[in-house]
Amino acid sequence: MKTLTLHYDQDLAMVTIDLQSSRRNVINRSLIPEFESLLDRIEQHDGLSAVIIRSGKNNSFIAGTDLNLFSDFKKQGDALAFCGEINHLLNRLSTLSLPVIAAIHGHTSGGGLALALACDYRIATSHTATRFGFPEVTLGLCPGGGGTQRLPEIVGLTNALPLLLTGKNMLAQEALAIGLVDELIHEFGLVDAAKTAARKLPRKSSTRSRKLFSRTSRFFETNPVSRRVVLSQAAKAVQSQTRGSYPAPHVILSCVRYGMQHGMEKGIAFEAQMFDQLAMTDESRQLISTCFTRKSARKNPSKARPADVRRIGVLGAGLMGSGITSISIRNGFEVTLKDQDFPSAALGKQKVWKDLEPDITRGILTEQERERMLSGVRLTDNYHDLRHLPLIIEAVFEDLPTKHAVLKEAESVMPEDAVYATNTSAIPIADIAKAAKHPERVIGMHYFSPAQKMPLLEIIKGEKTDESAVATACDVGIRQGKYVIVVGDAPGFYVTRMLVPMINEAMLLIEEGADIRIIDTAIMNFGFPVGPVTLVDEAGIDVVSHVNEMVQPVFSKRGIRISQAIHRLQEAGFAGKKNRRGFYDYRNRKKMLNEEVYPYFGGTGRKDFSLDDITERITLVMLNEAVYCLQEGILRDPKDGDIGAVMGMGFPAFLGGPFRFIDTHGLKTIWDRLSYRQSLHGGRFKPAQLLADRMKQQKTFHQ
Amino acid sequence: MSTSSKPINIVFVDGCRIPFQKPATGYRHFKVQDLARFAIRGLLDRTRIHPDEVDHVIFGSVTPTFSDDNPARTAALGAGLPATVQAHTVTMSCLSSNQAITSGIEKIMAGQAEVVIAGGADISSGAIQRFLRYEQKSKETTGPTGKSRGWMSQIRSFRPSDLLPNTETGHPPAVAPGISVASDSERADRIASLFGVSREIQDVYTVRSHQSAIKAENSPELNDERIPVAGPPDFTPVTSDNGCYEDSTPEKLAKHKPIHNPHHSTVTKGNSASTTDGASAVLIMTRSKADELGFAPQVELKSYVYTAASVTREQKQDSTEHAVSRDDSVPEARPGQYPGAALAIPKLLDQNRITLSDIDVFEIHEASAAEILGLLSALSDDEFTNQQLGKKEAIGTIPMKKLNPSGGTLAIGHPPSATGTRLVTTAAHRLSRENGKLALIASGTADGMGHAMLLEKIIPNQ
Repeated sequence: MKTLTLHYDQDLAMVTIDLQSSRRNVINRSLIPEFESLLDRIEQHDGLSAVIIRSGKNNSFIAGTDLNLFSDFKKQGDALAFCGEINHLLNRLSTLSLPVIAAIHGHTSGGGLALALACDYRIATSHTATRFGFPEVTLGLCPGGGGTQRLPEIVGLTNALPLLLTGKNMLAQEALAIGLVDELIHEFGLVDAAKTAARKLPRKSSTRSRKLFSRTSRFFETNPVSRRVVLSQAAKAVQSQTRGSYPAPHVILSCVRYGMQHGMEKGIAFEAQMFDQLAMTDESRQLISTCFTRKSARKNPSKARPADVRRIGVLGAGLMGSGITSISIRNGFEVTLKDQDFPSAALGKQKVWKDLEPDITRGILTEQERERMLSGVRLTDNYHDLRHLPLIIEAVFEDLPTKHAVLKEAESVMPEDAVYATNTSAIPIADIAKAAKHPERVIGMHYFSPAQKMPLLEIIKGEKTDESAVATACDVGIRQGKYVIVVGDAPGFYVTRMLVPMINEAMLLIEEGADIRIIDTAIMNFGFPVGPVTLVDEAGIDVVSHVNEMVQPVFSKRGIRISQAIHRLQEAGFAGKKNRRGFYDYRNRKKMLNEEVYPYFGGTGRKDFSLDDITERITLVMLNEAVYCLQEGILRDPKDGDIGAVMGMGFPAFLGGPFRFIDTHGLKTIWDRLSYRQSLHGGRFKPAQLLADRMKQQKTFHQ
Repeated sequence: MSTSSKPINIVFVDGCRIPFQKPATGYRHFKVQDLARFAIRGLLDRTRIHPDEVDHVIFGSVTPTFSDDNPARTAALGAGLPATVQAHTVTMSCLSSNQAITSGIEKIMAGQAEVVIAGGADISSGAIQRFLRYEQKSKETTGPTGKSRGWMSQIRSFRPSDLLPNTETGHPPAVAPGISVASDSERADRIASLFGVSREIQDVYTVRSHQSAIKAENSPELNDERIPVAGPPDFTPVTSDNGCYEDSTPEKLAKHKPIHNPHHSTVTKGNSASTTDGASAVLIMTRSKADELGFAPQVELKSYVYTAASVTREQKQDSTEHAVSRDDSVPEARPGQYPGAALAIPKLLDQNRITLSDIDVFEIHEASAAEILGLLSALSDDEFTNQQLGKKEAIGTIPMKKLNPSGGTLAIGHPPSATGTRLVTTAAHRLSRENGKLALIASGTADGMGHAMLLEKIIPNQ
């Protein structure tokens, strides 16, 4: 099917990209030869003065490359061949004797942005849908179509690096500010403006000068000394973030450096080689397959019919309640926010208002749009105002009697068929539902803090929970923009259940004499964003102590004792970051180790532990726990386990998730290591039966 | 002038208001559009009407806005109504929100709309007070109790930049602030003299208004129609009116100096209503639409009138004729020196062929104690009815216990454009609570206009 159409408007060649049978434009295999033959036609046509490339979609210019294309790279050289094709096309585009103008509206990322950069002039719409980015780094890749070469050339090194290294999107205004696009116009005037611009541009010649950046920044950008400084600073930052465990950013930097030393042409060839190498790494493969599995968590897994929810009742206007309110109103819901008194509810609304501030600053939202969203938040201090609502999400303090009391009051006003979702990280839904007249409508919706940022939502189906409640909760969660997994009802559910043994192992290590900082370092080297000890401080020592207590029964059954050290710390008044006294001392600007905690772990004398030893112990208990969760039916399938761990607890995405990790390393290896550790440290390393079963059947977790 | 009106058959579904606040207190961070938005949203939340069902929003306002040509539209969009809902702003000084309601009625009767949200909002800190930062600051240094923090602290907090314009666009305000006590006081003073309303009785009436308002303050009825507000940036809740004084006594009021003539006048700041910030809104629609949407309306908007008369003194061409022909025993007729409602109420009664005794609920605007007491006198005064209305007998008396029992404008405060909808809402709610049949609301402006509206309780299965 034809993706490209060409028509002539007097002296202008108008190319329209419109990928049939797809909502968005992406680069696929057939697009490149089609584009090449189109350029042939343009070259043979006499009397043209410029080429304009635009999209026939209303949401994307070209939103990157088709992911299926990446997963088709089977062996070394596949990706190189693809890069060769696309680079040939883009080189041709940039050396065409006619000026080429990209008229951009909507998402322009990855290969799409590379194409736009190969054009001579970029005019974009000021619409908030117009965004630019190189997301390759988040897939463990580097940009493949000359992006690492042309971007620094056009916007300068210091502006280019954040785009290349973070994969973050940039809005039209921001793109204009750094010179990524030459002009902005509203979406209705895009084509006419592109035509006017095309006719003003001179025929391509070597003398055509680019208006790059200001004189001072040009001095920095073109000066080899300052370039080297910028690059080495970037390298340091990358190293401290990736800790050597994630190659893509390093490679991107080396591509940029190579291009600066050897020129554009060689740089592009080097970039293609690097792309080929990265495409074959485990990290990239895992990240790309995660992209596919992740999509399943954006579809409602329940077959039942969800209730029609327009307005949600939220009980409790604290951090969590206001966070839930925030994501709800952003995604078109209205919220009735209830707290004990009106001023507390108002403070919750204030948090929601503040949450929207960055969007106002960036120009994504106008002040009036924010007012309009906020109008959807009705504050109340009484349950009566919650009558009629089809869904109530409770986000009060994690305490069973409190949760019971709130549930009873809410039920007294709720309509018969309304769903009651409780937000808890560990208390079993069955226990909470004991206070309910209608336990079938009680369900768990475990949001992670801060709810505005964390992408995961754990939905917990209690023993008596009705399937329609599951459908409603999933539907609302997905509409709130969350990735949703449905898990079974046992203390800690899935994510908390995974964190408890991990933190416990860290505590036991400290008791055995390990240095707190070494533990965090080991786990961050593994790829977690924070170490387990820091995590305890961030979550609050009191909270972790409370959660430990609730999840304890799960482990007692297997004869595992949870360290009481956290409990003792909590009693001694350590609360973590919130009272600035935790495992670390937050009283000064610099985060320092808090030596005061060591007496609770057998004194200040510390022993040497190898990083590998620590990493293995902590990751093994966690991997084993994941298998237990699957074995006990907490998880419906390994895919949910991977999504939950990556999105809910910061398991390194480039390792795919616990089950992918086990599959990659081999079930036998993991079983061996666990058995070895069991012999050293006892029962908490006892491999789950399911692991042995699968091993015997010679099966992996993912088929 | 038409003397009859077509039957209306439009129902009052519900109404609400936000707390009324003294200038530069609870609403000092807001613009008039914000207050209007809070009222509209509160109404939507209370009635749970689907926003798509609303056809038109009409809001009254006397607050000049520098950057917004149609605050009603801004407020409607901000409140979450669909962009397809039309909105317009009306202004008619103290009758602005009455005009909003009746314009809504007219829209519905003309077949242009079925469901209308009408209301009014004003913020007096929004006009001239916002012009200079110094003005704003000095207002802010006045606590909610009205007591100044003292001149020393005001001087100390003065900065040269306070003299810079504080408007969004930097334009000077085009209009003077709304009807203020000062501009109204002379008129009220004349009314007091004309009808022999003494300073003492004015102060006593004022105390009654304050005490009634205080008594109603914590009643479930008031909290039902008054919705709390919390908005950016500090989200400090505003849950009650701050205009009335619990400790108001005639003795305390007696200490106030008359405004117009310090030696002879009787109208003071204490016994006249102060301009406050606030907003209110009502939801009206055809009876059939209300049935269709499943509302069970209890009150119908039956009839309304407007009147207008000159407020300037009659300029006699021949002053000598004036001197000799005037019989001293007959008071000089001074059209417009009467409260506006004094002309509107008789007209409304006539149109509906009823008398004051048929009315169960009265909610009448109290611009000042002199004005409302003057109105009561006028209605029971044979001479007035004779001279002004050409009637033989007086209109009658309004029993005090039926009049403004939960406080009036004197205590609650007077956002010029929010009082009208407040009167209608309170009257309608009283009517459905008190088992009455008819309610009357009335109000007048300082520039000679009057308005009265008749509400009727809907008898079920009618």
